[in-house]
Amino acid sequence: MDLERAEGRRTARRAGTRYRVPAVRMPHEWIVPCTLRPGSESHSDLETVDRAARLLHAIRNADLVFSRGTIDDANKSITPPADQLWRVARSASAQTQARMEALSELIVRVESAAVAEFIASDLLDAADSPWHRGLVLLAERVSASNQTTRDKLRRALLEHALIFRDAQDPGADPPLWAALRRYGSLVPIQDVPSFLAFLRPQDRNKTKQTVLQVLQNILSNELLPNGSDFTPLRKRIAELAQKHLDADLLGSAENAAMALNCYCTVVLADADAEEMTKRLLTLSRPGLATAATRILASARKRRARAFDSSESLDRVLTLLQPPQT
Amino acid sequence: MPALVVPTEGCDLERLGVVGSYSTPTTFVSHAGLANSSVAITSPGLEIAVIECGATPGLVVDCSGRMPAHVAGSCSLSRDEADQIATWIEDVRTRSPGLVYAALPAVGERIDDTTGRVIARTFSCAGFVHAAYEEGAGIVLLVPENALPEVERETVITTWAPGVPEHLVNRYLEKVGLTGTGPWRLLLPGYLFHALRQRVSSAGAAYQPTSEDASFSG
Repeated sequence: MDLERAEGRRTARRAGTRYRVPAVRMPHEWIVPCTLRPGSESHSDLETVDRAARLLHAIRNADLVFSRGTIDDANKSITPPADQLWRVARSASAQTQARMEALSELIVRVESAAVAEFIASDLLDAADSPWHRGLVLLAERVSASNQTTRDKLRRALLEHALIFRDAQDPGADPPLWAALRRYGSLVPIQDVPSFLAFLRPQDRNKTKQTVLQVLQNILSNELLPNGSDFTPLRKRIAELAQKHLDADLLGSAENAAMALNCYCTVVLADADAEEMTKRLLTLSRPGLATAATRILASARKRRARAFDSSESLDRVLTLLQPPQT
Repeated sequence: MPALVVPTEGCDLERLGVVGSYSTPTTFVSHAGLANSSVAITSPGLEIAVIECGATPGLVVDCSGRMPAHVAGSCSLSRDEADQIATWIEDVRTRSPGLVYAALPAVGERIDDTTGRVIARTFSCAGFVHAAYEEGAGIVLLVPENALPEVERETVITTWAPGVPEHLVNRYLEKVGLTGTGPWRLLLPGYLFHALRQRVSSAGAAYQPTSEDASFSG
């Protein structure tokens, strides 16, 4: 019995049909539900199936389940040695899910640096597949301190972000956003204009929003340098803010979030910050100004730790203060 | 309706009201989410559409989740407050990672050790709900995370992993950020409902939960 079948039973129950789940030898995936009420009738208890499905969601999310097998096998040994995990991860013939689970397990076993190197190396093959998408998602979980690995990972993430950007299926969005987030944590400040490739008019708003958030993360720690190399990026950010800070567009939460991110990035990139602040304040959306203040105040705290001067940001935060009554 | 156990005759819940699921058969609340629209919960345990965190594989913030509603709570959000929370959710959707779920801290950040830059924000299910209200609309339901009571390992197991063998529990807890033997200062989903219940009488003050508040029985 797999999770999907259990989900089917839940759906059936919602539709008013009663099922009984037979007590059978459970696969490893069912190790948790099997042991919810040992020795009881719980294997045939629909409530247990319901709860088990939820637990499995949570546990799969936490990557507990590693390999297929039976509950007996699993109870004997659920922690395969690291070399076995690496064998599975490196085996191109193994199922993608099993390879991902092996890598997840290795991350938890404090082999994160080795996993980072593995991901960086495997992503050098610029392709779009479930395996590549999974590796990009995992990249958000690994720590990489070796500069060679970081450089390799950065190049590979940018390359895959471009591939996922042009993919036609919506399933490419989560790995695209993950690639952008992780790339943004690695990219040197002089290469930040590379994000322009994801701020094109034809890029989707959520992708642009992700990029704007990544820029906020970068610019909370470092200032965007002046100079002509950065002018196109500043100009594009200001252009987006000009378009999205429009009262006619703020009717939906999606648009309001986009406007918020455009505004915060404009301020942190020092791209027409004070003009856009006036524009924000004329929208009569106090909630938006409050949210912007929260994000910018948090950035100010980080900047205070990284460097002393943040005059432009300070001026904006003053402007955003509600009038004293 | 500040907070209640869903009665047999059902109840209505406002858009972005708080929903909780029991760790049945106990009244420990194991999961919390936000109703993604106004909804009539016609019976206890009815599955309703929610915005939730941590229940969907590969998607930390899920705007189209479903969960059984055993308990429900609200603080009569104004339209502006609801809009602000909805905007916050839309903002956080692209800030949170695809695979990283953590129960501790309830609200956290993944940071690159070398550059010090934030990679992504992380939430537990209850942390997500709490942050949505606090950061989105300025509604502070609970005292800060470092002032929450310490939760014993047994309570954690009853809440999230009842009946699971010890060696599996340890691994599960480690993966969601709970290392060692506890106790941990956890934001348990049950606290949210106690906070909502006392909110009217306390004039909106942040609630200081006690160790008994993992359970909510009305």
